[in-house]
Amino acid sequence: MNRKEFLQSLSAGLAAGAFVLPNKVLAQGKTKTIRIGFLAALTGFASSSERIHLQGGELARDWINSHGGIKIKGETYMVELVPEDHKSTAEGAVSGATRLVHDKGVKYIAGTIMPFTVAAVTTVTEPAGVLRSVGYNAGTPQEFSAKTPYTFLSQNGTIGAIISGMRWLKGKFPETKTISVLIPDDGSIQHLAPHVRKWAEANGMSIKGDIVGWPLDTVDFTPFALKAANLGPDAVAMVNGWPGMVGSVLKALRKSGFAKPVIGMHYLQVEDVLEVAGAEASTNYYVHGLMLNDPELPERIKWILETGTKKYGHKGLAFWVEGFDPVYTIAQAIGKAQSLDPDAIRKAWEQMDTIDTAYGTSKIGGRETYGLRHAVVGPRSIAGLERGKPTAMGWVRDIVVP
Amino acid sequence: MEPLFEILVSAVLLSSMYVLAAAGFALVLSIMNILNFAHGAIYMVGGFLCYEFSVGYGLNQWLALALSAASMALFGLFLERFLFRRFYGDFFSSVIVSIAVIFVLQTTINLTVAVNVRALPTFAPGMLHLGSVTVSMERLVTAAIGVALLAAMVVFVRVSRTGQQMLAVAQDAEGAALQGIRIHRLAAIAMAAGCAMAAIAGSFMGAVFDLNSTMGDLILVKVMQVVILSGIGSLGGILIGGLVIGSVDSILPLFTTPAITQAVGVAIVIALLLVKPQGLFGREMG
Repeated sequence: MNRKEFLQSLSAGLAAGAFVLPNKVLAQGKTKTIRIGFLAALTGFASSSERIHLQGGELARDWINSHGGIKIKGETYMVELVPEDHKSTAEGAVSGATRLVHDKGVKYIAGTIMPFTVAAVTTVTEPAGVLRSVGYNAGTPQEFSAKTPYTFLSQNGTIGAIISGMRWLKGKFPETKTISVLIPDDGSIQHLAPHVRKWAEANGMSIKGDIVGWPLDTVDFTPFALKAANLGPDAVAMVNGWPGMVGSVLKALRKSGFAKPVIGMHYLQVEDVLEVAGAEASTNYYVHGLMLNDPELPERIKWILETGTKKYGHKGLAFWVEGFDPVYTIAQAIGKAQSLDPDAIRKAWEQMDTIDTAYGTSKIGGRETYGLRHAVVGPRSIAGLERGKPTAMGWVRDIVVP
Repeated sequence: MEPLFEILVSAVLLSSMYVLAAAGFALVLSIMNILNFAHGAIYMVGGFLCYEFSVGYGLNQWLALALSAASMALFGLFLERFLFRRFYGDFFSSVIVSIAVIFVLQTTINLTVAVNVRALPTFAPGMLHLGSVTVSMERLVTAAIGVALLAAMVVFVRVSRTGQQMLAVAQDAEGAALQGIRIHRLAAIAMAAGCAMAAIAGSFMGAVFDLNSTMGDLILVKVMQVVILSGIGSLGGILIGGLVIGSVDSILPLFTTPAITQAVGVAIVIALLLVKPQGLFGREMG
């Protein structure tokens, strides 16, 4: 190539670049993002599970973005997740929310899960008018009530589990007339007890004796299990609790000779309960839980499981779903409102009768139960332990939280 | 009568488990005058280690228990040599160091194995029938080991030469040093033994209950109550302290609310501190 040809080629190349580059920049400038905060315990005692919730949020982001993002008035928005650590404490939750809202300017937040963190974050998000979709509700008004107009519940929560659990128990064991109930003594008994009694009676059953409360710092659950069993009920119900506690109670119940049904009116994976209780004690136990081999597993949950396992190298199913739905429901509400304004989104969400979740089409209700129509309620599966084996026990559908 | 007997058996078993958990803590406090808040975290890690050795690597569970105890004993030597030794006599600094150890251990477990719910397989399967009451063998074995370890510790301290030297150090470290007693060597032995006992306790409790990253926090509260009741410097008194706290935790919940149960447990400790600050059998510190 001689000098003239070289200069001609160089000129052509520069001209092409001058044309392409600005267009590329322009194209990038056209992609807009919606930033959704995700508050989770990335450190502290709850981090082992809540880091998985964050993964669920990331899966929701990937799902939304791979399905065209969110369309608002002809413009396409991709979801960007802004994670923040609440350190498993209420103070950490407040400072995490403060950073999200006031430092990072986030207008929508997904999470948290634990009741005391949910309640703590409302002190930041409600005054700032930040829309929030929480991953769980343990039934206390501090977490979710008419005084938290910007907070939505993306999961059935404890009261939803009580409603579906009582219905399922009576359907599966029609001879059940009396139930004794165990609830953590963390201030929630006074709020949950009326719902427990109401929904037991609605299904032709009654609560035997007083609610058996147990302190959160309990080492040995045997006395509380014995107290519940000694009331002589037809079944024992556990409302809220973690696998270690539930497994210990189940073990104590079975070793005391109580062989009747035990049902968890909350959400757990039965394999975890089996691990703690042992095969011998793990029988006649049922709880709201997902099972990997459930033939009725919804398509979206199958996607979450498959994609999550490939991306993260483990099977964190239930926790992924708990993290998925808060982000997913916010995105749908934004799409419905066709606006980025949290007030407009809140109003649009309140007008919706149904919303999609990982579990499928879910209803929106809760005005009578919570004081505001912000509760997303979807179908739930029941998993059981029978003779030491995890068993899918079917789904409870058409759950309504009034 | 039957429920009462069942309740009493349950109380004795739980008390013995508290004794097992408290023994190592009491040894370190009595000999080294160190309030090792990391005892609960060491107890927790010991349980998880036992799980990894037995379930993860398929070793015999009792061998796994021994390996866990040995591993935590070595950890105790490390703690004494590189962390606590420089703060002998400085109570507050040693407390801060022990709290830092808690954070490191808990975070390590949280980031690695805590995501999966775990419980150790039982060390002693089966049930024992005592009249009309049925008791699990694992609780009986745990209780028996708790009492046996405590007895062994008391005998060791009172009868052996090393134990006598430990008592001398506990009473007057400077005087003991002037007598030619090697303080650091004794402190290392006490720390190693304390951590090994914590690991044994964590392993047994991890089989009776479950393994989780906060199990150490919960048991530390009970351990502190037991040790305060029995008195600093009293190793044998742990048995009485354990019986009191274990009985309160086992019996009261059956008759009253959890709030009152907790209040009674704390009230007992506070009342004793007001009347006898050194505890039931303890010596005054300092």
